[in-house]
Amino acid sequence: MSKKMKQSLAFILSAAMMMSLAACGDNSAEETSGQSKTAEQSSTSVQASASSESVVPEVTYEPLGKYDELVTITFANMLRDGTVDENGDTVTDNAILDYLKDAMNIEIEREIEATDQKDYTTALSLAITAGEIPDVTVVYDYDQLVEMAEADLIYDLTDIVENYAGEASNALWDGYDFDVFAKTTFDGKIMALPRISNEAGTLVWIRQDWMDTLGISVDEDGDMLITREELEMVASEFVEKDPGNSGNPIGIALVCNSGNTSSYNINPVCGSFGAYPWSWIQKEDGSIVNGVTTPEMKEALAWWSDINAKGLVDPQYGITKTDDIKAMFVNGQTGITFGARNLCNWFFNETYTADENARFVTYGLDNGTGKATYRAQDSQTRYVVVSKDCEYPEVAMKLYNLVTEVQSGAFDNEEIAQAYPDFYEVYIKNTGNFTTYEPLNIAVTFGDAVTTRVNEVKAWQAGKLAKEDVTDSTALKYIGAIETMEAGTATPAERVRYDEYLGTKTWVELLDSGTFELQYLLNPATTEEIALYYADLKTLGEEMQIKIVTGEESVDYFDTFVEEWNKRGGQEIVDGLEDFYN
Amino acid sequence: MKDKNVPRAKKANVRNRTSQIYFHLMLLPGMIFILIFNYIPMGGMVMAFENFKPAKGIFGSDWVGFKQFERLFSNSDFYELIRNTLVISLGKLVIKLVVAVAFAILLNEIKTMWLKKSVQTIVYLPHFLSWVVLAPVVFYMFGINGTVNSVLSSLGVDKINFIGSNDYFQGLLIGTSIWKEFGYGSIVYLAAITAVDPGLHEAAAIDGASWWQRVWNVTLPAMVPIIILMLAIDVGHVLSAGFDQVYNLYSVRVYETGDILDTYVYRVGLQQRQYSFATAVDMFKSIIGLVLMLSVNGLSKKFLNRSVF
Repeated sequence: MSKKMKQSLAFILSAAMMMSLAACGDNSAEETSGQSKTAEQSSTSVQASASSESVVPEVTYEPLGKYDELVTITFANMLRDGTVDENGDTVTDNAILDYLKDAMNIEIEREIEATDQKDYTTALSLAITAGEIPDVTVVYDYDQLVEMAEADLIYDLTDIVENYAGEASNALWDGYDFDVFAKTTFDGKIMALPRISNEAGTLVWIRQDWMDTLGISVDEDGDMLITREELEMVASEFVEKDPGNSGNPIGIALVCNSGNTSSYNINPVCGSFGAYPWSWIQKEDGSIVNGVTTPEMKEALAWWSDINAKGLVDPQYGITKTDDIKAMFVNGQTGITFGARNLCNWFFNETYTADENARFVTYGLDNGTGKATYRAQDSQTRYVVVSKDCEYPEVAMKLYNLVTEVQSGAFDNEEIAQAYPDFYEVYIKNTGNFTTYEPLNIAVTFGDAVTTRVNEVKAWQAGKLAKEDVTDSTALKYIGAIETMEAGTATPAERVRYDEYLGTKTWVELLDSGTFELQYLLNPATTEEIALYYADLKTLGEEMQIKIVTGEESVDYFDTFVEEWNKRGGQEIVDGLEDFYN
Repeated sequence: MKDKNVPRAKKANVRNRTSQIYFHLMLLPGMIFILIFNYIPMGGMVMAFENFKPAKGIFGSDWVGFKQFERLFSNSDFYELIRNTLVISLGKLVIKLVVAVAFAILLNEIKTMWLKKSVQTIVYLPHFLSWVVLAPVVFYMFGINGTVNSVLSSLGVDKINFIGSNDYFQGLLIGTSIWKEFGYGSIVYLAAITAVDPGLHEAAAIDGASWWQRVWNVTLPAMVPIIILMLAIDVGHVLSAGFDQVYNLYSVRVYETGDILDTYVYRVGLQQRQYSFATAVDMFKSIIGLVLMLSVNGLSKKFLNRSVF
């Protein structure tokens, strides 16, 4: 049976059911449930018509069930570069995909491929414009999700979530004390499966081995926080003495952007002043403000301008891109940056390989009151959607189940090891590989997984927990790294892992001791005013940051900027948001 | 040969007319191609007057009249954008013209054939490289720690931040663009020079004209029609200052002098999915381009008695 025929048969079947339901439909109160039932039944009938010529729908809900015959779905997600070391698997050819094919009869055919998020979003935009999206799509931009829902391009997943969500998926969702589907529900229908993770909180990363060589130390009181003065001192020592022997040391290398992320840019220091550039903050009186226009921002910029004058900021600030900073670390030019608790994992691995002494240490940045402030990031940043025309809408839930099951450790057993040795060796023993290479690429975090992980390692170190009893697979890897570090036989990858553990430990301890102070932010969808003015305002703001930090303009230029900001639509955006939220 | 052809002329004419039909038919696929891919999509320009939402489609989106154009003209960066675009674009246009013409004249003086050919090939080559490839080369050359700056500092001159300085960036753009394109641009001028009747040169030489005088009075006048043609074509694109070059070389630091209409539209229009706004800007560019092209053509017709069409 051709795809066209299957599609039309499915359509006729569902239309017939729709009509029969409409015929026996009673009152309007039950209309919604009737509609969703239709969707559910038509999906099962689609399955039936696909699997055999007979049209007797058999309803079995298996979260990881195998299809009767090979199901090929078109798929869109960003591509990651690189390979898994062990056997050269790539994103498009790996044992996870083999597992999907063998164990679940699912084959993935990528339709949109891009390694850059902007490119990906643009490509997906074109697909939305054409009204033809792949069967399963991972959306990175919330506005795009809204657009797809409004355009009626995506499948109502309410019943699929109800019926097909596996144990681990439900456990993941229940582990959060808020409605995880709040952002993906439109008109009471769940239109997308969210990626959920709570890994926010930026740390300062410093070359430990350089500090040792130069004989400098920070954080005397051991509260895992360093002050801005200490940060400046380290940067100035690094610039003066050039411990990397690069001949061209750079104090703090920065990218200039107008996002509300806190990696490699001025934002973490701004946060320590209480400024959250490019985030919308609601004050107690209900008024809304963008962090980039607050007086705290001016103070932060003054600090940056000051240390730039002392020669501690990358002279190419504004031109430097993320990859350039990565290269500066590999070349031994710079030894300080800001990033997540596991930054070393993807940002410094080449540095560890290039310099066998390379070690990093992490600290929180003191905001002056003995605490480190950080923005509570939006916990949902990716959304899995299914095309309305997809013949197997439950396939997305099955892929999602696979991710949650593997991450919960359910796959770490003999059975899998026997049946799928390649898959087991590379991806189950190291779930980090799995989350990197599984097609959805949605690495979720179970509410307390990271804390559990660190606590297990600590218990093992204290001799209270035997290695065999450690349940978290990443904790086991940390333990392995600690052992090789102590034995002095650590490979670069193990040194990365070791520092990742230390970073994670710092993060968890800061979180547990209440030293991290959360700043809650608004995550508004794009309002009409934002669509109209925000891109221009971002350009304006980026230019302002450059001008003040590099000293081209004095700090007082900030006041001119705020005036300009309000004039050019900033005020209108705020008015619109205040109307919306109050 | 001539004798044979003369009595046949009439007959040949008739046959030519019928056989020409086939030649015209051969144009058809090209015309259809242009119709489908260049004319029909122009209907999409209607988006400039709408608030286009992909979900609603071209026919379903809200009609907003000239709002997108108002947004463009009322933008306080608009004049900066136009200024940057024009400076970069006209700089490239004029200097490239002069360099390419001069190069063609000089190259024509080389009498050693193999040298002439190899120089020609070498200067054409950069044209075929994409800016995506060339941008890193430019960074290595002109970056703060690049080759040029090493030379400067070894001469005791202060380093110059070519890529990050508003004083140098436009010059860098124009310079690198001319380096890339002048060789390819000189092809047509070279062809024009070879078409000059050598008899004119001989006559001038006999009359005692120096090399300069011959270039000025014989070669250049012969090249005027082709120069006008190229100018008329190029001037139509004057509001496109070379997106791929600027996009690959610019940064926040040089928005002030390097941000052109196209990069602005890409950043604000396409990346933010403001399709209607992007369309409006492009339509504005096209109209200005058309007006300029027609004016150059008209002026040339009036004063030089020559025109493209």
